[in-house]
Amino acid sequence: MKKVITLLFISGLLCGTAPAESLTLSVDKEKVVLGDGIYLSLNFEGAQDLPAPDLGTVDGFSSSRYLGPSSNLTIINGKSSASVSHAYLLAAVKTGTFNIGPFTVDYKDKQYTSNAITIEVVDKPASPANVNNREGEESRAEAKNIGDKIFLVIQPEKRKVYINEKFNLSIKLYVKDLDIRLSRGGVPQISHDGFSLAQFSQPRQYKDMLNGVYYDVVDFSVETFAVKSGELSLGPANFECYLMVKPERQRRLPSFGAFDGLIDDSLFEDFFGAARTQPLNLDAAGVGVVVSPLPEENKPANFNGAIGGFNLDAQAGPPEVSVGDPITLRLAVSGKGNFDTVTTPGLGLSENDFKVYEPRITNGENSKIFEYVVMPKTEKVTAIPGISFSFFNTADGRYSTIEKGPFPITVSKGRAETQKIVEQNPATQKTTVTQVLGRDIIYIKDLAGALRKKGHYLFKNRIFWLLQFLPLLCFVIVSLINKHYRRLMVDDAYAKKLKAPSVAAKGLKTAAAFLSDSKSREFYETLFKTLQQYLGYKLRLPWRGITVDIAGLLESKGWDKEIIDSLKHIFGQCDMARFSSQQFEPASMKEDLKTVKKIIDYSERRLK
Amino acid sequence: MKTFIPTAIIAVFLLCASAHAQSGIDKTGFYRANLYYEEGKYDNALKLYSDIAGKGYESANLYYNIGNCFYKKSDFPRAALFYERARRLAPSDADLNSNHELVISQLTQSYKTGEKNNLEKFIDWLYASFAPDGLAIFIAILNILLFSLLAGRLFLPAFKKQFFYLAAALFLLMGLGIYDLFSRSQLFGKEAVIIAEKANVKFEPGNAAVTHFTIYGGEKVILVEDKGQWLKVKRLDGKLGWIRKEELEII
Repeated sequence: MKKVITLLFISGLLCGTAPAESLTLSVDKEKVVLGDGIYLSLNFEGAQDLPAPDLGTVDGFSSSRYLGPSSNLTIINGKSSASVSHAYLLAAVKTGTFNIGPFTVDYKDKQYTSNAITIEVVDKPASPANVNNREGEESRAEAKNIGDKIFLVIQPEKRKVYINEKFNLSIKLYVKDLDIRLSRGGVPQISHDGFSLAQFSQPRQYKDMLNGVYYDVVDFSVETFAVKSGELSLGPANFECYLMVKPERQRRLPSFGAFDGLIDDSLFEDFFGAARTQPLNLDAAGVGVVVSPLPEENKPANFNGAIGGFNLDAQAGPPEVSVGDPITLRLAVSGKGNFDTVTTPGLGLSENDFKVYEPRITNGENSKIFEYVVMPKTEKVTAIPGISFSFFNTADGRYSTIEKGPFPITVSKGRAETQKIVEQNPATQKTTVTQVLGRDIIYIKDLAGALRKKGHYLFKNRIFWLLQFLPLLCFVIVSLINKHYRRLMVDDAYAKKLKAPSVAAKGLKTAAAFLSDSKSREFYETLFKTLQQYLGYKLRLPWRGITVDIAGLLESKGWDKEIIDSLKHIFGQCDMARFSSQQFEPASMKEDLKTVKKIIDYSERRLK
Repeated sequence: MKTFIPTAIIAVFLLCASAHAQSGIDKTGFYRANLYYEEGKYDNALKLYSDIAGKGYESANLYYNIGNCFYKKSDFPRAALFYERARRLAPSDADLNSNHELVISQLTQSYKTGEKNNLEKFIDWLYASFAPDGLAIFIAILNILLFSLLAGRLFLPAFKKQFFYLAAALFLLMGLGIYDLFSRSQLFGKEAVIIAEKANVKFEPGNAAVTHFTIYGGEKVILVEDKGQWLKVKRLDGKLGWIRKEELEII
C-alpha cells in the first residue's frame, strides 16, 4: 500500500513538472577594466544534465576558463523545476565594446539560444602614484589593448653575421601595468632552423623605455651562431605566462535565477574573489638574419675556421734542455668569439727534430689554452720554429694572422740510449729505459663455457625470490620450537601438563596388558597410579596425594556428575582390589578400563 | 622438521644450478670455429660463432671469441660490443678485461665514463666482479647465513651481541647486493654500444637537426627514448642527444 502511495506521489510530481526550457546568459558586470576578469554564467532552466557548452573565442577577451557547474531543483506546490548553471571566467584583453553571445546549445535534439550581452572594456585609469612617479609618461600614447601592455620581442645582437660567428640573442617580454606570473624555469620556445642555440641564461629583469613608454622587461638571453649561410630567420617565438585576474571585491555577483537566496553570496565571493591565473600565450614574429659565408679571398693557408677577435700568447720553456727532455709550449688564445671554432694550432715541427705529444686543452671563459709537450730528438736543434694562428675577424670582416716565435732553445747531448717518458705532471717525471713492447689481444677461449639461453637469468626467476623467504620461515619455526623447549625447561607445571596425556596413554597400555593376563590386582594398581599421575599433572598437584577426595575439587570445577561418579567408582574398585583379596571378572575390568579412558578423554576436553 | 631445512637449502641450490644448466646444444661448431680462428680464417670462425649466438645461446666465452674475431678484422667498435656482452656474464675475467681495455685504447677518441658517488663506488668495489647470477646466488647465501645467525642467537645467548652485529652487517651487505642487482637489471636492454666508426648525436631526431656532439665507435650509451628511426641516448658523461638506430647496437 505504501509503495502504491509513493508511486502515486512521484507520478504526481512528474505530471506537475513544467519543462519551460530556456538558456540565459548573465555576467557579473557590463563594464570592465582592461586586464580584469568577468564572470559569465549560462543558466539552463528545465534540466540538470546539460553539459558545459564550449564558448569558443570571444572577441575582446582571452580564451574562457570554465569554473564549474551548479545545479538546482525546486518543488513549489507540487511543481518541480530543475536548472543548471555553468560559470566561466574571461579576461578582457582589448578596449572597446564587445558583444558576448548569443550562444547556442543542443539538448535532446532541440536547439536553445541564449541572449547576448554587450560589455564595455575600458582602459585602466592611471593611479596618482603612477602620475607622480612617471612624470610626462601620461602624455605618451596610451595602450589600447592588452597586446600593447604585454608583448614579446626577438632582438638578435646582429642582423648580419658570418657563419659560425657567435652573437647574443635576446627574447624580451615587455609588460606594463599588468600583474603576471612566469612559470619557474620556463623559457621561450623559438624556431631556430640553421642556428645552434646554447642554454638560456637566467632571465634578467629591468625597466626599459620603448616608444616613450616605460615597461618592465624580462630578458631571456642566449648565445647562438649560424651553422649555414643564407637569409635565415630567428623565430617566431612563443612564450606562455600567466595573467593574474583580480575580480573586484564587494560587488554583487550575477543573478543565478533560482540560486538567488539559496547561495550565501559572501561565501560565493570568497570562493571566486581570489586572484586567478589566466594563461596567456604570447607570440613574437621571426627576425631575419643574413648569414654570410666566410670570404675565400685572402684566406690564409693555415686558417682552420676560427671566428672572432683573438689574441695569441705563446711561451716555451725551459730554454736549456738535453736531448729527450720535455719542453712545454703553451699557446693561449684569448679574446671574444666562437671558441668552438678554435682548433689545435699546428706546430709544423719536423719529425726528425722533435717528438710532439698531443696537447692538453683547457677551456676558459674567454680563452682556450693548448699545452704541448715537445722533446728535441737531436742536439742540432736551436729553436722551436715560430707559430702562426689565423682567424677571421668579424669586427672588420678580414682574415688576421698572429705569429709568435721562434723560441730559441739550447739542446745538449742526452744520456746514451736513454729516453725520458713524459708524465702529465712534470714534477713526477721519471727516467726509465724505454722498453718497446708489442700489444695484442689475448687468445680465444678453447671451451665454450656454460652455454645457455639468452636472457635466462636467475634473478628473473620468481621461484628464486619466493625461496628467499624459506630461511625466514625456518627461523620462525625454530624460534617457536625454541620458545616451547625453554618453557618446558623453566615451567615444571607446563611440562607436566603436556606430559599428562602421554603418562595416561602409557598407564592404560600397561593396564590393558594386565587385563589380558587377568591380573586384577596389578591391573587396578596401574589404573590407580595412572589416574593419580594424570590428574596430578593436569591439576598441577602432587600426584601421590590424590585420592577419591579429588572428586570434590572436580565437582567445584563443574565436571559432569556422571564422570565424577565414574571416578569415584574407579577409585572404589581400585581400593577394593588393592586392599582385599577379591578377584574381579575380566568383563568388569574391561568395563573399568573403558571408564578410565572415558574420564581421561573428558578431562582432556575440559582441562586444556 | 629435521629434514625440512636441509631439503629447502638444497632446493635453493638446485634452482640456482638449474639456471646454469648446460643446454643440449652441439658445441662442435664452437670448436670448429676455434680451428678456423687458429688458421686466421676469422670470417669463417665468426660465422660459426654467430650461428650459435643466432640460435639464442650465449656464454661469456662465446662473446669473447666473437669479440676477438672482430678485433682481428679491425672492427673495433663491434669487438667492444661483444666484449661488453661478455663482461656482463663474466665481469672478472682477466683476459676479457685486458682485451676490452686494449680495444678501447684502439678507438680514436677517449672513452667517456660517468661520475659515480661514494656509495656507488663502494657497491662497485663489493660486487663489480660478480655476474648477475653469481650475485643472486651470493644474496641467497647471505640470506641463509643471516637467518642462521639470528637462529644461533636463540641457542647461544652468551654471544647474542656478536651475533647481532654480524647479522646487521650481513643484512647491509644483502641490501646493497639487491640494490646492485636491481640497478643492473634496469639497464638490461637499455645499454648500447656505438658500432659506427663515428656518429653525430643531434639535438632533435632528424637529419636536418643540429649536431649536439660527436660520438665514436665502441662508446657505451644508455637508451632513453625511441622515436621511429631515431633513439634518444645518454652518454656516460650525461650528455643527451638523438642518434640513428643503425649506428648502435644493444648490448
